[in-house]
Amino acid sequence: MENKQKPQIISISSGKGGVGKTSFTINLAAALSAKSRKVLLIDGDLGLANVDVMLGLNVKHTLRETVEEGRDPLEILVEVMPGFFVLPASSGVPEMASLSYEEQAFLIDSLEQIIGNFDFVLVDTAAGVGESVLWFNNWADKNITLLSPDPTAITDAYALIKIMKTRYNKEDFHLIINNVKSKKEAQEVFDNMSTVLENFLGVKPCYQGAIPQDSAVSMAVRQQKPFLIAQPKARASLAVTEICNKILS
Amino acid sequence: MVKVNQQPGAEDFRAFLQLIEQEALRFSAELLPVAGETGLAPQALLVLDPTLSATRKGELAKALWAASLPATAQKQHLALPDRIAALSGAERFTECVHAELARVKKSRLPCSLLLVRIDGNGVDRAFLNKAAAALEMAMEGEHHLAHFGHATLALLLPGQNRNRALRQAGAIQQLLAAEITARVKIGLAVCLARAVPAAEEFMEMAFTELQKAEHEAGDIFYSFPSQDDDSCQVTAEERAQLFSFLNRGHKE
Ligand SMILES: Nc1ncnc2c1ncn2[C@@H]1O[C@H](COP(=O)(O)OP(=O)(O)O)[C@@H](O)[C@H]1O
Ligand SMILES: [Mg+2]
Repeated sequence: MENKQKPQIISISSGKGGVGKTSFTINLAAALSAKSRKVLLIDGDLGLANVDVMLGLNVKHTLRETVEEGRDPLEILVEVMPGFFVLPASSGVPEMASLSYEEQAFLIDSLEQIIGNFDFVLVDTAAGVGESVLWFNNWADKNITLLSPDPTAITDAYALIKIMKTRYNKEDFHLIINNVKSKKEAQEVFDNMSTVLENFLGVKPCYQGAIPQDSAVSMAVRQQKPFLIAQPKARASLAVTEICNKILS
Repeated sequence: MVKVNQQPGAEDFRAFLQLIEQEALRFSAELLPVAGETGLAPQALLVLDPTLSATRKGELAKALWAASLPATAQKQHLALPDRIAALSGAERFTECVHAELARVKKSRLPCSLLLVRIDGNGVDRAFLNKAAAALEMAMEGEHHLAHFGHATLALLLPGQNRNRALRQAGAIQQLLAAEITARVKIGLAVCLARAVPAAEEFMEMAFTELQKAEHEAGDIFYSFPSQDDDSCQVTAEERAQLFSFLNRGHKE
């Protein structure tokens, strides 16, 4: 137990749904594992799971069984590719989307028992600012917030950061601008967000990178494969590799 | 765990349970009947060490119930002759509050404390026992119930914010009115991670509210840290700045 290294826990959130959290997270996990890191991806969208769908996994057990029956998370772990493991969640289970305090504590406890085996733990969180989103963000060492140039995505990302700063004293936010037409557009969105965060919340976010709007992303979703694997040369794939390198540096 | 495999006649089983209950009285033990999906009658009886944590009890119940426990399983405590004696007293409760407040700092989740006073002159031990039994039915795993002087019970609600605790207080008020036709006064204090008081101070806050409930109109009073600096609502000014670059783009 003692010699286990503490992994880095990274939450990926956006407030708004459909911004690209799940696509980004599975690709970041693929990129990290390609660099020989042992990665655990937790599907934090506990009641409306998507990670298994996007990876085309045939899931037998889910985190629901950990919460409801105390099943060891190691038993539900799925290895997607060498070094890339997924803890799948259940879909269509509203109870899982609103866990009680005790269930939350039990889930986090169970997860903490197994994360020592990994270098990175990535949590793909649900949309919205429900409690699970907040406690996964609080649990994480590093909070990645995904946004797009869309005003609603911008507002929602800002609202989430405001909550994490105000209620949870979090300071260290990393922004990724997804679905951009150009690097310039990404930089504009980031600069503006950064100014507002500094002006109102005294928070200085970190620019983690940008991902272009790329048909390879939606194609890979339909193929149920990471775009990094399906189209390694695609612009989105290069962008994720760049973000991965930044995380490793 | 004592478990019956076939659904027995309700009468037989009740007598059987009572027998075990009487036996268990000689030991420091708590009885937790576990009911299956099918009937209202318990199908198993778990004899527990009362010092176990609620989580551990739940784990044990689940593990012992050979197949998985049905989702609809009912957990219901049997009436022990003196429940009040089995509850934590003020000292032990203060320790619990202390531990919980330390956890609030770490988890950044809120925590609420309810002081429930059973109103009326004729409140004797037996009545208080009934109240405690009723309260225990409304409790969840991590809740902690304690006896706090004559007719007062304290309930610690980890993870519960003001709205939930107020809802719980209302539910308790209704439950005690319905189950034992008791009228109650409730004082409630809520603690948020950004301003965690000392345990004694937190309890004092709830006590002050309880006194208000006793002397002023209304049965439930609460104290809650000022919401001004806790509001996360995105303001019109923030929005204006968030979208300013979009407008700039349009003009160019
Ligand atoms: N960079 C991108 N380019 C093109 N389409 C994208 C991009 N990022 C995400 N999408 C599409 O957006 C949709 C929603 O993505 P998803 O990852 O499910 O979002 P979330 O998990 O935030 O709800 C998917 O169909 C995906 O193909
Ligand atoms: Mg998703």
